[in-house]
Amino acid sequence: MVKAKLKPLEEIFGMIRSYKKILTLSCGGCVSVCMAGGQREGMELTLELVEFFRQNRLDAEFTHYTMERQCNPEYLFDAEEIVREADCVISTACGAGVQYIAESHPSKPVFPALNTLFIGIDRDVGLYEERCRTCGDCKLGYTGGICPITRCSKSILNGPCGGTHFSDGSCEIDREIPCAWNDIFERLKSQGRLENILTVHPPSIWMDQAQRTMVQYGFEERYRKKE
Amino acid sequence: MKGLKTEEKIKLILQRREAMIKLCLSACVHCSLCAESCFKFHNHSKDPSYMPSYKALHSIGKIFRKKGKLKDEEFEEMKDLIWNKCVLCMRCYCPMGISIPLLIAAARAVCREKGYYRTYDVISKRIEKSKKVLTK
Amino acid sequence: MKPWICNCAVFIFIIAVTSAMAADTVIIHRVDDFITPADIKSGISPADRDAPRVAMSHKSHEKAGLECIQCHHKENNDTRIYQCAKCHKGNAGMEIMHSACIDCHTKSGSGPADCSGCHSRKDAELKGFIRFSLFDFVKGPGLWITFLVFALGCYYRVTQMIKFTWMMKHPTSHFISPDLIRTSIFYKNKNPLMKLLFKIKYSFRKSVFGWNPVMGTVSSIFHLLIFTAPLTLPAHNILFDEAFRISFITLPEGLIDKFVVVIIGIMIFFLLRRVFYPRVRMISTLGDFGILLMVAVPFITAYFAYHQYADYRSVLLAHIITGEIVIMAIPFSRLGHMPFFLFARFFMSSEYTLGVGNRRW
Ligand code: SF4
Ligand code: SF4
Ligand code: SF4
Ligand code: SF4
Repeated sequence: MVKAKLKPLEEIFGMIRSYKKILTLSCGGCVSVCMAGGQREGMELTLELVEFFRQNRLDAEFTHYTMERQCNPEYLFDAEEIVREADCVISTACGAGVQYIAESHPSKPVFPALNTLFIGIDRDVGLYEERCRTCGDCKLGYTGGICPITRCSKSILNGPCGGTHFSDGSCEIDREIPCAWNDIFERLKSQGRLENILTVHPPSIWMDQAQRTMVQYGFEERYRKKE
Repeated sequence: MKGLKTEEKIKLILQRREAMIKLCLSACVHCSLCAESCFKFHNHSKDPSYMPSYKALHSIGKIFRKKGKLKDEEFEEMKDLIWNKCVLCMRCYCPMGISIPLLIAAARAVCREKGYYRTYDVISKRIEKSKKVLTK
Repeated sequence: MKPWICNCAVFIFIIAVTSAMAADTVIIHRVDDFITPADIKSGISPADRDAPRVAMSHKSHEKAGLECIQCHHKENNDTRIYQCAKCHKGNAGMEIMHSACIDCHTKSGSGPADCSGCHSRKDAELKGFIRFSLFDFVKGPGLWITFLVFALGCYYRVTQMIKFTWMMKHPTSHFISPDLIRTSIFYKNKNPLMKLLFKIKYSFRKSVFGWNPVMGTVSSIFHLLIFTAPLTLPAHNILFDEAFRISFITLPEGLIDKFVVVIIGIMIFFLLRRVFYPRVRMISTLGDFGILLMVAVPFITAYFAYHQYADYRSVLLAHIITGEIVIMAIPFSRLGHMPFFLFARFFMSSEYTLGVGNRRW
């Protein structure tokens, strides 16, 4: 799911220092799972901010509340009143959540408390690894389930580039980084489908470079714009 | 909300949703048609306690009836019911139009005020097991 | 006290009272019934319309050994209309009624034979006035009240639901890149008939019929019949016609009797399901059984009335009263899933919505 990390306290403080009634709004979704902006993290952040304000001789009233999701209209209702009461909101959701809260309360300043980093997997508790950059045209089918866009330093689609260290299969950028295309080659070889990368693949459309609106399969009729 | 006691906060949360919860609880005909639309229900060999309406009725239904005054063990039990047995994916479908995830979310809000919520830093046996499988 | 206990208590009390009353029903023909606007035009004076009503006791006629069929002929009367004035209108009607009554009275030598013997206000008032008015009440104003309560209640519930839901706003930057649309293979089909068939199949598979075919079918049949049976029964349509001047298509009574048997059967299925099926048992409350009983009573009494088991009049009265109570209870109890269902299927935004579906909780 979405992985994120708390911003430095100073940065958050810089955004909200002039406000008197501050609401920390946690999200019970993805950021709870990666332990960046769940209920406990939100509570801790609030306590830290209280302390930080005290040290800086500033006075503000802090409230904390956890929403189930900040990216879904159904759960927005939960926090409507509390948001209305506050002067500003620090949202510990991912970028999408922050934007949705800001959009539904246009008169409220809404600040992000997290840096939203990537879509990834949970390696362990507190250890996450990026796995997808939502390119919009998934290549995993011919790369043996290894994302060349995320894993390859150059995000090339017809690899390897020629800089691979063949002795240990690492990237020319850094010996520590495994070459994605070396891994792809190894995996495809072991599965006996090397022909998958022997053909040249056309350039990607890079749909992630413009804002996308998606209509799910089966819902085309419902949302197709009337001509 | 600031400066209120937990009990008062819970009361406020319930009050804010009172009419909606009442409407939903009174419209549920206890027909169990929602069961099959929940993937959790299917994944747990159709255990009825994974049924959406069961989860809603035994969380918010209970809280609402007792006006939020539940014993700690009851909250502990409920935590398992509304966090581990439901992921709020909103895919359950009630033919009567009841929004079950919204009811469960309301129950979660009350539990959160009480300090019962799911944390993700406990390495459960399942994760250990799957890690073993992966590293083999 | 819990509301459902109250409901059940009131319900049982009313059943008890109505069945305790051995209702000797008296049918009164208003003179109005025999006079059409055309008659008035053709010169029937208003004075005639003021003639006292006729109180006709069925019980005393039955005691005297009369058969129903002697008056309620079946010829040209398949739907068993029991109100003479429905066909025998105007002066002709009046003559037929007069000859039917008076002839018999004089022939048998019993029963009143002069005008005031029947057209006696006093008689009408004395003879079972209370009972008469109860029966007439449930058939006339009772029906009005019932449907008024029902309509207002449904209106209230639906507006309540609308109040808690709100319209979805789609983003202003709402555009659909053609690359992102994956049109389902079903919809791509050239043949419009196949397209439609696939569409139906697809929506069927993801509906309750797909995941729970037995319950889906049984419950659809049940809900279909529970509306068709009462709405197409000839006797009910007469009632509707008398009270609201509307009527629907009617089906033969024998068929509807079979419907009622099916309905009662399915209710027993629901009951068994509630008792023995773990997933339903786990969420059942006493109120659910109460509701089931409440809906069952009008159908059981209907079955009894049709087959003339037990005392016909009391059963019929119990049937009408319980039926009206159930209709009034629809918006205010769990039966409220009727307006809810329609609203949800058409206006709530969900993957199974049938209509415009742009509202969310
Ligand atoms: S707002 Fe962001 S973090 Fe929260 S549930 Fe939605 S996507 Fe996940
Ligand atoms: S190829 Fe694109 S969609 Fe597939 S995993 Fe990589 S970034 Fe994600
Ligand atoms: S929530 Fe809906 S589908 Fe589920 S038992 Fe209640 S009425 Fe039936
Ligand atoms: S929201 Fe919860 S109850 Fe509904 S389908 Fe998802 S997991 Fe099941």
